[in-house]
Amino acid sequence: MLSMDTDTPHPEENSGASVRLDALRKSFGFVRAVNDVSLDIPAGSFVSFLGPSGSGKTTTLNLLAGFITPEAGEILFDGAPISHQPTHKRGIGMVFQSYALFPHMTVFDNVAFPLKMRSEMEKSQMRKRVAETLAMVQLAGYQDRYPRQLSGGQQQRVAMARALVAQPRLLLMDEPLGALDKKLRDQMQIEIKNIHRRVGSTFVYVTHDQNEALTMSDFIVVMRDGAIAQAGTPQELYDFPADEFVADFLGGANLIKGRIVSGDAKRQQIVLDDGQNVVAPTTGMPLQAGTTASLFLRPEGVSLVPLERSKISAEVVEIVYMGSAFRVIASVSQQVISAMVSREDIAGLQIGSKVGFNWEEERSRVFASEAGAP
Amino acid sequence: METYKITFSMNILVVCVLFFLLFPVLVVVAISFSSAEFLSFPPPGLSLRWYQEIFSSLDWVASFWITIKVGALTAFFSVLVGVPAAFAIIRHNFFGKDMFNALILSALITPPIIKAMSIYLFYVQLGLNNTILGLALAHTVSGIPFVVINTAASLKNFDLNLERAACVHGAHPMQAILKITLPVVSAGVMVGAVFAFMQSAQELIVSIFVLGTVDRPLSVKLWEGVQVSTDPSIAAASTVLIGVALLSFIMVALIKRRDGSLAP
Amino acid sequence: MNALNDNHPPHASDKVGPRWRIFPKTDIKLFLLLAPITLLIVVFLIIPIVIMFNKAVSGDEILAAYIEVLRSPVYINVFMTTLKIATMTTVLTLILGYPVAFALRFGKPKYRAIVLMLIVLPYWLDFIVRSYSWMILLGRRGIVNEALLWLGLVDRPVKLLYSLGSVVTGMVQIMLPMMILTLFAAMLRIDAKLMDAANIHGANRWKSFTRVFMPLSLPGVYGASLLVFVTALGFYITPALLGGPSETMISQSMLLLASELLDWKTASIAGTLLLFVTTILVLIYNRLFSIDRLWGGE
Repeated sequence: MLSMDTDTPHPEENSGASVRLDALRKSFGFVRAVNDVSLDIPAGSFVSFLGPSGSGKTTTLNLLAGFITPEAGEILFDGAPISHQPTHKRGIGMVFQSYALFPHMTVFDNVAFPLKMRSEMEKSQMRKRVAETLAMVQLAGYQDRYPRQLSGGQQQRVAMARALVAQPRLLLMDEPLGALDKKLRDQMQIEIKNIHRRVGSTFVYVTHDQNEALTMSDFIVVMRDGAIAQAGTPQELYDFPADEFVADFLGGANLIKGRIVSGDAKRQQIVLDDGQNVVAPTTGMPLQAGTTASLFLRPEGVSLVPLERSKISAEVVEIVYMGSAFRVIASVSQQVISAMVSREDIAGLQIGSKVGFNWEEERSRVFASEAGAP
Repeated sequence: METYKITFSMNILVVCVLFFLLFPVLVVVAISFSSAEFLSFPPPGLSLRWYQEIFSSLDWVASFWITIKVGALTAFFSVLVGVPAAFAIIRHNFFGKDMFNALILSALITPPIIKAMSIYLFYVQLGLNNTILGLALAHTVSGIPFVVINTAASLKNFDLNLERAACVHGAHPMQAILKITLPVVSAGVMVGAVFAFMQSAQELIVSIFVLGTVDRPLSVKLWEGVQVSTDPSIAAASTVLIGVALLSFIMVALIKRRDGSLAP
Repeated sequence: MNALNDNHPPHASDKVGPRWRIFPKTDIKLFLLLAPITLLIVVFLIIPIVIMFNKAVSGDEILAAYIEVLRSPVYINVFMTTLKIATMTTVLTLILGYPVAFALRFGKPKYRAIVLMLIVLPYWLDFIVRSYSWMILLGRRGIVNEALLWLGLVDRPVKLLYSLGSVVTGMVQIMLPMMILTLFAAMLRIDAKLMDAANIHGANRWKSFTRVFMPLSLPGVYGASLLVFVTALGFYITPALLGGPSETMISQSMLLLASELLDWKTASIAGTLLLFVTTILVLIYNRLFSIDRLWGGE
């Protein structure tokens, strides 16, 4: 059972539900879309499900929403099993990538819809609540417009307002920003995060964009082939990924392939094709000598040093100006290593020169390597 | 898409074809306003007497109302059975779909004379001959494909996420269909209904058999008139029909424009 | 960017969407949806037809009765005439309609909209009205005769009506919109880029048309022609109004037999034959075109 550290921020009203996935399984024909997934989501947290298409994240979301039922396992909201409860009784809200606004209704009717369906609210109360929710998404006064009169970003906000208006204990979001341009996306990310802080519901956010996940989430769940590859806080996943896949998926990573020479549960030694040796901490079980493995390094953690003090030496191939820093790309043993360094560090550096790279050993890792030539 | 420029000669052909299609009809309209007592074109003078004649004729007016009643019933029944069928076709994979397609096909393609003869004989047993209901039911068979096709087209373009969104936010699946799906799909349904109505209003052969004696719809009355009369009163009746057709055409165009999801 | 239109989701058996989870419930729902329409068509179309054919000819007589009709010169004549007129109508509408559909296909949007509207409009008009208009035009005092007289080409009004020519003219006019629209729809499915590719590789306009576009449009041509032909077979109004005795088509014969001569037996036999031919043609059409595409089946 994967459980995330309950270091959640505490909003004023902790009205979110805790969500537990217990050995959840769902297949389509012969494809195991969700394969024995277990997870504990703390109440009121913002959790992103991250992964490539086919990883099972959307299926998990659909299971949470109730559009499909699991063939095994259980989903619990605040301890109560709900996986066979029909969708409309689950007390949740959802934002779709295509907004799914009702085209024949005004913004007001769209947003008021959950209130009309779920509660016996009085008209004046309803109007007030809708107005408040619209204000929260920066759309005060838009009640009488129709969805077709709104821009993409505005439609998305209406969709959010509709999902939030009934103060659901769980809010699901299915790649809601996918259809927006970059600038709008960045802006909406901040707004969504703000709304989360204000409202306190549990947010489950599905995306394939790792930047989005890193920016917004309290916790990230990386999924692959129907199972959880790793779950934890953004820092945990970024600094200490569990395997090659997670490392590569979240942000740029150096993954230099070589062979295991020796090692134990704490450290392993890896040798590159050109004979250079490096020692790095083990991930999981120690690997047998001779197995292909990768050395994991984040470019920001790598610095340029004189050759004598270096762990690895390589020949500079490219120096890329990134605005606030420089990326130095060097070739080692027919692979590439990249480091993010400052202006001072690249003084005098030239393409073709041999340089030394160094890093804190604790920030590196040895991973078992997936199939594929270096 | 501009691969081929439409040549001048091609354009000429198009204009000729359009002329061929539309000019005769304009002739009918022109003659209906003729002051002469015989059919000649161009008409010697203009007058509204033929319109007066048919509007004051009890016979013509009665036929008009019969056509309206039969058409309305036809549209109603067609929608009643056609909309659920469209849902079944689009949303379910069911065993025997081929058989079902064949059924709809047969409604579409059976020659009118065969429909007319067989249903007449059938109705003799049931006593449905010479009734408005009987004719409407017979016309419904031909009207159904229009409703099914147009509703299915609308449904196909319908974003299922709208229903999901409704359910997530508290609507029972049935409520979702009633409050969200049907209103959004209504354009297709309405277009189908209009087609079903027009099809019934213009239908002749079945009407001759089932409701062709004392009470008869406009198409039968028009048919009789065309064979017998030599004065422009028929032209006036025809023009009225043309006007009705134009109105329905405009109505459909407006529905489609407002909805935007149906292809022309 | 739209969400996937997932009436049929990517994975085989499951459907994502609000649904009834228990199997019997699904079946009941399906039954309720399909029962009314099935009932209606079966009761008001299929059963009457079956009854009529059964009643008309029974048992041993069947074969003899059919042979009698098939050998009778009168009916052979009518069948042949029907086929002849239907064929002529189909061919002429194809010749006239193909270029128009082509012009629609490649015309600019505004052009297309206007022309489409002008073609669809007559589609809405009553067959009687349209045939009647030809009566006015082609009659002795009709505009064509007036023009001929005025031009001095003839001394007396020519008999234009009640001939093969007038029937075919009327039928072509009525069937043209159907031909044009069906061809147009089929042409829309041909990717214009294929012609561009041909052009780039050296084919001139005429060649890229004959070698690329035309062959690709053939299925559409067959489909549209079948549709027009089948409809033309069953025509009644136009030949009755605009044709003479030697242009009698089968629907007219059947109507005569049934309503005036009260010879339901012969009428039914003629009807079976007509239905038989129609069905075969439609099955061929279905093979080529899968008619259930019309209402969204796959």
